[in-house]
Amino acid sequence: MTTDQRPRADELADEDSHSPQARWRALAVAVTGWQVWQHPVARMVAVVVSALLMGLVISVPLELGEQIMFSVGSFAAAILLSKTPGRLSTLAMIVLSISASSRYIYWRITDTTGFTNMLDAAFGYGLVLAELYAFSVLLIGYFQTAWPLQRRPVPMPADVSTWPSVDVFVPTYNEPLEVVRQTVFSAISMDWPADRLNVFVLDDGRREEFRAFCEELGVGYLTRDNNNHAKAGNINEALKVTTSEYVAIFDCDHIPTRSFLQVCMGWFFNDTKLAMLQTPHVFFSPDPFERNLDTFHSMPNEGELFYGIVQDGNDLWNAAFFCGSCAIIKRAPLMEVGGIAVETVTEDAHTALKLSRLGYNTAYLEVPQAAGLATESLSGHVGQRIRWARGMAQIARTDNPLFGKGLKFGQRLCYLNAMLHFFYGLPRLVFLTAPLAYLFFGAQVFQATALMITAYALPHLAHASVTNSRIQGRFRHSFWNEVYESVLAWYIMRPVLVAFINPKLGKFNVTAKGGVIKKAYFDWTIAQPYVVLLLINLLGIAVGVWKLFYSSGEVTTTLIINMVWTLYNVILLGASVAVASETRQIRGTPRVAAVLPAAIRFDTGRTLVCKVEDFSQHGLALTVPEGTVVSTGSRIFVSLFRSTEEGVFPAIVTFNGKGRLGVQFDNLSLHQQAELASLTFARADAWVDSWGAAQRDKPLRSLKSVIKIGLSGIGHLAVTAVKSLKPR
Amino acid sequence: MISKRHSTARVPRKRMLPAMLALVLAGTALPVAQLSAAPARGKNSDARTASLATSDTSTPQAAVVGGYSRQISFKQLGALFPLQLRGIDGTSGVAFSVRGNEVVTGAKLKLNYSYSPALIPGLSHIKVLVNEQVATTIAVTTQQAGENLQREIVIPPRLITEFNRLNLQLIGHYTMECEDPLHSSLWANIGNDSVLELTVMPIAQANELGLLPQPFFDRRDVGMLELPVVFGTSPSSAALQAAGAVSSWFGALAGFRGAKFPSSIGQLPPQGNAVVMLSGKSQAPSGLVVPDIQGPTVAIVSHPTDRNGKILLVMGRDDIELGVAAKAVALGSSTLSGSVARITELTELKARKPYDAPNWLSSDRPVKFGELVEPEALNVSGLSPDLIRLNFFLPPDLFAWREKGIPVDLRYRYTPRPNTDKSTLNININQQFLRSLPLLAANHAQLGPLDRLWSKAIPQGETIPERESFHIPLFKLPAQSQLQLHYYYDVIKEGFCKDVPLDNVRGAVEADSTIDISGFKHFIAMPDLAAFGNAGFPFTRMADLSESAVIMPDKPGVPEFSTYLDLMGLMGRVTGLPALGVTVAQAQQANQLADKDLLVISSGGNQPLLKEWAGSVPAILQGDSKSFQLSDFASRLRLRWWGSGEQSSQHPRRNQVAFSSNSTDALIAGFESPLRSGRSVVVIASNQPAGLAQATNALLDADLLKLVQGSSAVIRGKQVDSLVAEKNYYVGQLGPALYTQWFLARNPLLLLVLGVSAALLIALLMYVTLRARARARLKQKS
Repeated sequence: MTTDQRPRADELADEDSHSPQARWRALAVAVTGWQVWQHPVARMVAVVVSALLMGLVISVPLELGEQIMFSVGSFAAAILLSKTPGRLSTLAMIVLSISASSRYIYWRITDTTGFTNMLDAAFGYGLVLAELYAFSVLLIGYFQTAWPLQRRPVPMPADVSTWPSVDVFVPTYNEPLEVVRQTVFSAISMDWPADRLNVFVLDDGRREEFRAFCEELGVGYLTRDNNNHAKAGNINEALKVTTSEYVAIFDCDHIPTRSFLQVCMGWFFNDTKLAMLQTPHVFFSPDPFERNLDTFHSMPNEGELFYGIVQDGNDLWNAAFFCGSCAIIKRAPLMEVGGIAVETVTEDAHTALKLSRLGYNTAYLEVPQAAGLATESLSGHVGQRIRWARGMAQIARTDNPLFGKGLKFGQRLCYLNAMLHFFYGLPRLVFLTAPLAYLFFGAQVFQATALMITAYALPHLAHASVTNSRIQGRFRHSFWNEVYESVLAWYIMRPVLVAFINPKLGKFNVTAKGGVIKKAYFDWTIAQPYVVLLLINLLGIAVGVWKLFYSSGEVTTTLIINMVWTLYNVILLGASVAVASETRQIRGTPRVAAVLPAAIRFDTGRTLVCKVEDFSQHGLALTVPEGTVVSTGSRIFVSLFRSTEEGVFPAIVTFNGKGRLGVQFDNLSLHQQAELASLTFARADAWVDSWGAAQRDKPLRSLKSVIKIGLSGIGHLAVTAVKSLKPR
Repeated sequence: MISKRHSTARVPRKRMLPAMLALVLAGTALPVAQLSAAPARGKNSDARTASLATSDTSTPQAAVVGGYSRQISFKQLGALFPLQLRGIDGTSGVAFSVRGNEVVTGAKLKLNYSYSPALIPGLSHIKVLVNEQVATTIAVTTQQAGENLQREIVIPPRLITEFNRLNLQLIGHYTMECEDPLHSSLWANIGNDSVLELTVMPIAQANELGLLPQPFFDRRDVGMLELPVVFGTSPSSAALQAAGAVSSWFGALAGFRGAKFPSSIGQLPPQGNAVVMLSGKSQAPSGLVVPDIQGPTVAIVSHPTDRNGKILLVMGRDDIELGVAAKAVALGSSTLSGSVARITELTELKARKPYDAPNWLSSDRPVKFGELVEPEALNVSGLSPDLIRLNFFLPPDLFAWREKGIPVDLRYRYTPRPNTDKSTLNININQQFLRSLPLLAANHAQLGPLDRLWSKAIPQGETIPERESFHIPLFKLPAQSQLQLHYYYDVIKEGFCKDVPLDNVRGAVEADSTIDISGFKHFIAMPDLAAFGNAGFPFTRMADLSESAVIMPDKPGVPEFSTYLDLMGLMGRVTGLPALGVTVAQAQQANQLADKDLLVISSGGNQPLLKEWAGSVPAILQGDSKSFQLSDFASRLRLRWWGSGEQSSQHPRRNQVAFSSNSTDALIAGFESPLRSGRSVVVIASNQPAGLAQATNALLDADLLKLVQGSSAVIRGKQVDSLVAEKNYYVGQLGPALYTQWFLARNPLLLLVLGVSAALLIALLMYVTLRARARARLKQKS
């Protein structure tokens, strides 16, 4: 069930037990099985020895030639390790990467900061701080992701009478009923004793049509007379009037599978201190990155790293946190911490933090058991990230996980990185502009020769790249992190800083979902900062080229290295610009690709067995035998199956040809709609197949694709600029 | 540039005697030895003139017949460059001195000079001043202007005292109207090949130990000290140790002048001063009347055949007493008096610590400038003042790896400039520019808003005491170095007829400025003959040479003794301390001296150790056959990439050059002691006994000394060829952490192996820990 992020080497080892990979694995198993590791004295000795060695490896200064030789050797070792299977190799790569980066940072601080004038010092220390930030995030990131726990579902007890009661909350504020109803349909079709399953729609919009819909379907409808604390307040209000032992929370656009409760609830039986269990958020529509860059399903999206690796890694340290939706919370502990936290705008993470402080356990189950709609537009996406970033900064200020009681060291670090992560705005902007200080002003931000810097910095970057590529594999491709950060850096920098200085400032933004982008357009407003940065960087390159003609020797090397860096920044900014050119989104209800058995019954009584190609809320695409002739507009009945169950739905043919048949459902009753949901969106395996199914990362290929997108972004910008000038 | 005498002329005596010496003198002064008629002495006997001495000094002795003249060029007096006289009142000059046992009867100045054609003859002239009194004035004529002129000037001897200053002053004018006092046409140039010729007359002196080290050494004499040492019979090792103490004492006194100690056995030099070392009265050379020896005794007697010569008798009834007497001379000469002194008690000295040679910068604390020079040398005046010079001596084994350099905390003061200008205090080290500090104006606060703010925050007084910290890079800093501070003033032209230079410009460096080498570790790759030649390293590590032994060859002769004494003189010169702890031994005893650094003397085939250690010695000279071992440089360069110096030393010698010639060569070679690792051997060898002198000559000659480098140096007369072979061992101590870092920095492959092993080890630890944690997290209730 759980997706394996095992590298290719593991597959090779599985295939051939005599391969070098298999032999390495056998060796690793043997060595890690030695009893000596269990002996406390031996462990102590090993810790001391390795700490000493590490200290040496970090601090021994080397001349240029020696440093190159050392780095090449060390990197070769990392590459060799990346060809071997198993977590031992991954850990060794992490340690090599930490040593290369620490070496760099140690050298950077001890050897390159003897600035001689204010200009150099201002730029130089700024860059050092940005690098220190990146270094800490790298280190804590390794800590978080060193050992993804890969929790599997625990079977429910056979005695159904022991199963607890569950309230399912679907909070909504301004989303259309169209979006919410699918979630409700799926929620009511969850496989759970009906007397112990209570679905509630929490409508902060207080809309009549919602009330009517709920009444008709027989699910709970809760409202309140104010909108205080938004979603958190909404849920807290509902907690007051409900009583079940457990609460499952779904955003109104997150459609759960019918197996959700059975898959997730088992762990609560196993661990009585468990207070919260989170499952991944999966999206069946492309996010703005995927849509505008056309990478849907071929490239892991921005969120996948978090749900694929980070949360799973957090889980090892008992620091998996609540993400607001697709999770189960035990009511008693939740009430103990005063319900969902309302102090910050990221109420979810903060609630989990509070639970952890009281000594409750949290868990993360990496099995997609719900799916939703991704944010429509880039501006919406940016708005959502701003909210997260603000919230995290607020938590860092008001309830810093480093301090306060109740947390274990590992929990503190994991929470810290969750906050620290969102401070990337300023450092990212520093990296995007740092080489310009030299190109424009001749500021020597490094007090070292360009070659020396390269010899120290390149291993630091290269090790981090190959190591993260191995850890993150299918969930984040190399260099994409930089693209995502570059897009958001400008926007999250200010809110984070403001929130960090005064957590009370700023207001809550709600993410609008389920819209249609009718016409492709270029979002000038949101692209502004990248366009400006891009132009400055391009100017920097021009200045660099011009200076090249008048330079010689060491200066030329320095110029070239700074220009290569600037060029990389130009690519990143180009990619950011490409994201801002919104492409058209035609379909109101996105389609989900899935191959399911189906049958068509015609008016004539003829039955045709076929297969579903994709489905949406309102229709299906079917694969029919070549040559099947059905006239468009004819009424048919479509049967969908789940093991022995069959659901029959009236539909109208809307499209026909080349072995494909498009149908639109025809006036389904509410119960038919609920039944349809249980056979499509609520299928237990609906989202599992596409999870982590993206291509395995190859750093160079990934770099190539980033470069391509960056260049196309610049080209697109040029064309748009010319076009927008013409009419005037 | 104005040059003065090199100020290394300082005698280190002052700091030489913190020695814990209780010297009890017994015996009273004997009657002064009879004066004996003898031909006059002189170093330059060819330049001797016969003239009557008309001494005006108040010595009771009658003046003696005979005198001689001595020629000294300005260059020898310390003017490294021709003297430049500039402006309306340019002055420059040299210092010279006269020995205490001589009186000047005549003086001449052979001046090479030229002057500007722009000078107006009626107003302009060059004054020759001796001790601020005019000896003569030289008129400037239009006819000879701009040419290279020569002129002989007679200086009245009455102007000359012990210490003298000869100045030349240009009174120059180019116009009758208003003139620019610093006009570039106001110049005169005095060649530093100008010669001062002094005719002197020796004065007989009393036989008085209280005068020591005079007359054997006189600091007023800038020439090399040459003092014969006479042994009664062929000296034993103990007698040599005693003689070494004396020669190193004289070497320390002679300092920059250098000292040689030609030795002889049983025979006095026909004239001049000498030291005689006797173990027992019977050993006395023929013709010398020696007082009775009743214990360790020091005495001065007149030379039997030269009435101006004196003999320093260092005596005992046996070698041990001789040693005591020699120590008394070396340590307690200032407490001796009379003509004969018997030493009854000599307390042992406290053991010395490494690197505590008085001439060297202290290794355990910051050293104040005031300890290095006289306070007056730190003050200068005038618009183009002389350099402030600071001579210091560094231990050659300072470990400079990744060090910024020697920290200097400089405090200085100066007359504030009237306006903001480009005046600077320039800092040089050994003529190499280091940095310059701006000299500010009194009103510099008006510079800008920021500065105004600054001066409001920190108000400043009228004089400007400044403080600046900087580092002197250690890279290739020679053992003997000079820090030069130069106040360099920008002269702003006020305008026509307004330029009146006011002589109120002063600059000073505070005596409590410091230079600090205490932070450095001592660690050096050996063999390094440059360190040996310049600093006597590693023998001088203990300033009294107490961890050194000299291995004499079998059946040593006079040349070997001279070489030994010269070498001890050199050591004394480096440390400023007599070599009281040195051990002299024969080859057979070498094995007992394993924990000492060995200085091995060999001439011809008379040193068995060299045969025994043939594998280690980088070069051998024996009779006519010579062989040198060279390491293959190209292959070594490649080896550096893959391994360390340590490893390459285990490689067999790559190349051996052997040839045969009958020339007389001397060889200096260094290598690690085969007896103990970390100890050094330096071999001074020649294929013939007479050739040994070439080695010591090379070490005494500043120009040849520069060429002595690497692991071995072959000397043929004025030619020195050094083989810069691999340095294959190390002397000194780094802390374990620093040593490991340094070692690994030179062995990146080893570092790589360690790094990858550490990564695997840590990965294993993490694996085991994380796996246990994960299992605990996933444990299911059974």
